[in-house]
Amino acid sequence: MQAVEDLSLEVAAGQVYGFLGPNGAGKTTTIRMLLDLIRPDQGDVFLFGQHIRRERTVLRRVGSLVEGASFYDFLTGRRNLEVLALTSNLDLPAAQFDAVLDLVDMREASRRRVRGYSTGMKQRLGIAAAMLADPDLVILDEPANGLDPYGINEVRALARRLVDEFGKTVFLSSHQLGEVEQVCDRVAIIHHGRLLREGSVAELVSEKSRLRIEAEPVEQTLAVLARRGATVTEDGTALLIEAKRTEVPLIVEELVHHGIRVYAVSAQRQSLENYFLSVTKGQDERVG
Amino acid sequence: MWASLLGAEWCKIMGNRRATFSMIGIFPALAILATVVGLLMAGLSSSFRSALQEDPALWTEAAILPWLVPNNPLGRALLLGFAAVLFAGEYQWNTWKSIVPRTRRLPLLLVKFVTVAAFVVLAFTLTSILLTLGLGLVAWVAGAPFGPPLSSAVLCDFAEDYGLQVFYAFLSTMIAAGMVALVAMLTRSILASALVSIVIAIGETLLIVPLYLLAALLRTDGILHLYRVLPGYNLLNFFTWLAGETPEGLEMPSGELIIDGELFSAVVLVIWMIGLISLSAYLFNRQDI
Repeated sequence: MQAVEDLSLEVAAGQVYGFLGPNGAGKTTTIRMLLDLIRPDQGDVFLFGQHIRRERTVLRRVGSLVEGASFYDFLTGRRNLEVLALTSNLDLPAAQFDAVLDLVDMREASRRRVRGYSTGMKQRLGIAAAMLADPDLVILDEPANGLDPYGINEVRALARRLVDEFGKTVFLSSHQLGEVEQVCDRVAIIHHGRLLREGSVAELVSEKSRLRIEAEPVEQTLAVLARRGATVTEDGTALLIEAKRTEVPLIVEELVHHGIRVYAVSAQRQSLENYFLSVTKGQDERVG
Repeated sequence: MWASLLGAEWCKIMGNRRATFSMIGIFPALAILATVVGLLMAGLSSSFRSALQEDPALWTEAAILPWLVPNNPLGRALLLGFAAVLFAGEYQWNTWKSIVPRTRRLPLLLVKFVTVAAFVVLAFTLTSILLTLGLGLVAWVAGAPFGPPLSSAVLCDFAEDYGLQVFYAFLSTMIAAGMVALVAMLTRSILASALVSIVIAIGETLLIVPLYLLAALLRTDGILHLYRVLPGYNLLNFFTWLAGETPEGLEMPSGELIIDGELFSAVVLVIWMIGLISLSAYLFNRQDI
């Protein structure tokens, strides 16, 4: 089985781009390939339109935090950043270290050894490390993993600030859909290594909405909706069906045409989580 | 770029004080300790003073003494441990993923070999200087000579011996580092890399037993020639020549005695060094991180 297959994503500059998928979908594999940490068995990886192996310098435009922040815990936070700068052959002024440490509110703590840091502090230092070379693209792979709600909130706000204040593009991989929904401009959903959907959060969640219909007689309404092929569930006096927003007028028209009295039709906004579950589950059923 | 990479390795090694001191810094520390103990004994014990006057220490031997460490099992184990921290540390601390996207892999790996060699040479040179000065001080306190007197002949001989010992220590360290680098890629753990490398280093010298039995069983000496190209045999052979002795040689089941020369062993060791470094570089370049 291929971990990732023919995946092409277009991430516009100046956005937080969410990269979603269930565990094992190929998110981290994709990111690792983008960063040349693993090599694809077949094919090539392009970033900013450049082959990452042939045009190695393209990776200098990328900062990354992959699967949790890892540091030399016997060094201070600041020293870790200095080592990273040396490894990257970057001759950075002290002000640059201060700036990225200030960004994540770690200037004071960076004087201490990483050994004593909490997970949240390490993640923040990881984001500082990703920003060290002033990259165009910041890849954050599950940056909220292992964090408490405050930490998650901080990381979410930080991802947004990188775009809004610093003009960066953030590629955020996560399975915390609430987080993604709140912070991302666009999202891609992958499953079994394939791109299932891609679009803005608003587009995706409105792609399939749940309609709540109050109409009488109920039996006749059920029959009309069943003829349309809709799966109907009853919710007290109302009927619930899944339908696209564009189908709503047609459904109402058809019900009225059959002499059904329509009292109310309302679209229940679907959460990204529901949408995600419906598309990935649908894919699983097709694969199964 | 190389200076920058070396600077990063320097920061890591100096920051990891406990590991660095216990495996490398311990040698100069032992030289200082030996000096202090020697001074105390020279000051307090008349029998020590007279023993030193009767059988005086030689600065030519004192300077070379630290370079014999790589041939000592404990010394070799410490060097393997030091190399394991350098090579396997990045896997164990999960830090390769932060470094690899920023720089090409080949320099990242090669700089570790350079660092191991540089640190070992630096540590032993420092130990050598400290031990020579220390023993000179002990001899002066004890009123004993500390020869041989300086002359161009003595200095030439010393330079040749010293250079060969440094070369030997360098080869030994680099072969150990090459072995550790390969094991580190598989185990991704500092402790496992150190232990497996020590087992390999010891096991390799013990290979003589099964090879000899096999050669005797098959009535062919050919198999035993395999042993002649292993690093352990050649390190010992090279070292024996360096010590001014003739090696015992390798006796074949047919009764033939093979004594390999200094040059043979040096060439084999250089080939091993290049081979191990090249193989580890090739594998690291293709490895998933």
